[in-house]
Amino acid sequence: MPAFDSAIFDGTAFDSGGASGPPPAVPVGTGSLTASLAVTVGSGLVFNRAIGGLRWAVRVMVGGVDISARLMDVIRISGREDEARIASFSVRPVSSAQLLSLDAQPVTIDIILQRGSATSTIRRFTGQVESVEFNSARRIATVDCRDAWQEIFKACQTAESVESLFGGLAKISPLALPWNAAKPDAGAYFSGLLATIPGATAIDSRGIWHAFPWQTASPAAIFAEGDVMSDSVKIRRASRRDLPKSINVRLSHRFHRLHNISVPLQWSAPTYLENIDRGLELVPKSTVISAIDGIADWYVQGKATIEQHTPGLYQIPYQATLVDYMIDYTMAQTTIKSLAGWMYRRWYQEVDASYTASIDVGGLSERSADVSASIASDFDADAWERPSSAENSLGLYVANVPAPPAGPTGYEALPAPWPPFNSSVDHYGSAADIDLADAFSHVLAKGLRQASAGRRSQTVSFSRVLDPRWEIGDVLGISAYGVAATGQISEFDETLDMDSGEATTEITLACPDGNAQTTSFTVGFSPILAVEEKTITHAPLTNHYGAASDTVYIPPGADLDVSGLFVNVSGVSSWYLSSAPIFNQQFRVVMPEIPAIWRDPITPEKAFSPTFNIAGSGITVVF
Amino acid sequence: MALTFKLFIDPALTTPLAAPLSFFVEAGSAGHCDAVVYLGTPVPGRILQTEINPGVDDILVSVTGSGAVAANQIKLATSSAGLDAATGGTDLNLGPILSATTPVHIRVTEDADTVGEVVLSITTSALAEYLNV
Repeated sequence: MPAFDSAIFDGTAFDSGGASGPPPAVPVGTGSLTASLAVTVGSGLVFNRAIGGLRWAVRVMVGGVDISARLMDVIRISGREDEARIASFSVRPVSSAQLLSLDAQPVTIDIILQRGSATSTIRRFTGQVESVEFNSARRIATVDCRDAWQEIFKACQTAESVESLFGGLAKISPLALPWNAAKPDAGAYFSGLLATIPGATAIDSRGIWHAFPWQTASPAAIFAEGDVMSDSVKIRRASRRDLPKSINVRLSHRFHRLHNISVPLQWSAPTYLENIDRGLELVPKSTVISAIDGIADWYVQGKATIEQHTPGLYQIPYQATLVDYMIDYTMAQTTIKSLAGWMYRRWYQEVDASYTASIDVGGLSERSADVSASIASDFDADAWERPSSAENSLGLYVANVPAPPAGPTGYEALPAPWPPFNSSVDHYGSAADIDLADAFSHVLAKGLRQASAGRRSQTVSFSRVLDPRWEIGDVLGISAYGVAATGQISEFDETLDMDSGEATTEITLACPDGNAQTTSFTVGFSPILAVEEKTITHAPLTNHYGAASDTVYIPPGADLDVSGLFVNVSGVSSWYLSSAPIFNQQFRVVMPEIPAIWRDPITPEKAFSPTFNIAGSGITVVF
Repeated sequence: MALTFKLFIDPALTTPLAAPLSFFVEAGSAGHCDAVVYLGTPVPGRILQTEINPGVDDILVSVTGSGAVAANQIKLATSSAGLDAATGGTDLNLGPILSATTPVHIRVTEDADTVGEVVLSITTSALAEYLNV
């Protein structure tokens, strides 16, 4: 029976008199959100020249005050892709107080059009007073205004805020373009991302931020000869400066290739018979262990298997008799009979990989432009390469380990990552393959934007009677005076002369030669990988007897290829030969050298052939 | 205490919408004029719910007013593509809890020949802002 019987308590047993659960949260703010929508249903007839002359008026509100009645001279409004929209006007202030009150005030400019009985009111500017210059003789203040294009991205406090301004068009790469949270620079981050978008940004007439793609679409209007001023239609071809022959894109990536190689350790001490026959001593365990531990850069994988002698009295057949061979307990504990295990070495190799692509821009010049970025791994390869000082072949315990480790791998004292056995792995630190792909896409996007912007410097511009309906990025067409083109508005300039009544809108359409409806690219990225199985030869551990009639002479230079026990026979042994080479007695382990191809810095390169699309339908000219 | 959630002119929530949002449509053109504002807060760790039945009732955005353009000529959606399918004059449902920036796309359509100017409004439900704990 369970200790707690829930059946004893009914649903009200713990009722403290109120609703269960945590107390309701207290709101930190309440209210409703409201926005006013100023909707003008205007007559499109005001843009129809056939009806008659156009009359216009301007309503300028500064800081909520209508100053329209005191406007003078010329009002100018202009906009460009990736720039703040600017406006300027002249006003005769009613007082010095009004003059001084203009600074930094919010400004809206509405244009009121009337043609015949048709009227339309269109907002054309929403911004702020930037500067005021007062001509005291004429008592006229010239007011320059700007929208919030710069302020918006400079006010961003986080990377996410800046990124949101591009509406998903930017190619974000924390590797190629990192956001420094400790010292945020929203302006630099914005500029870096802007360079990757296949489109542009602008604030519209109503003060709303836009990021729009470069694309072709059905034009909202096509202007014929009757709609544009006869001498205003101009074609500008892309200049050699704007249009290189190609743009070479390169992402340089410095990282570490982590290598691992292992060689077997196999050695057996001379047999008891050899010890008797050649007059040898048992080999001290410490001699072998210190030799192994003293090899620079090589380490024993796990723990080497060291076989001790078994204490006892052995009778060894020697020269037709049995010779007693005594091994006492102390001797058995301090000497070695055989050794088995693996030694390994791991090291890193610096890799400066390059990922490249080329964009054929089609320029007539031989010049190529370069777009590049460099990224580097944050991995501490030096720390990885060395084991901790606790790593050695002997270990603390011989037996009865208090808490034996589970599943020892032999690398416990070393930091990850572990290259595969006798192989290598390319390690990017905290970055993953997808981060690398993002970085390459980032630099490709920069190249594509540069190529596309170069082609978009082919434009058609024209002027028409004041037509403030259009925004940066809108698609218009023209078919007039032998020129036929469709393109996005990349800039406009409006001039309204209060004295003469002349009012014009000059529109510039970007009309690049293109191959698609949307500017984009596709690439299948895969990183450079060179994980190869490698083997390495090494000298086996054998026993070499000096001062003996069978001593093998090791010539100079060959001593790098011999390993094992070097010991001299006893002077009373039948093998003794005083003229034979006599060794410095030692246990010697010579490990193989690492070939340069696995050690020296390398600079592999991988070229990609992305598909690039540049939106545009070009310009047709008929003479 | 006032809400830190506001309607902004940019998705980075740096500049609150101040002036009336202007729309121009040509009478009888069957055209439309779009705009987008962003509902959110620059203050991290806040959520928005309805003041009544918080977390249960949906936050609604509705259009009020009439004139040369009726409320049913205003479409609301959370995406530009959503405007095509939206029904004019219908409230925009933002769900019971808002924690992230939400775009509010507005489309003024013109299906009559009445020329004129009118000031309409979009208004949310009565809202309450909470710490997101």
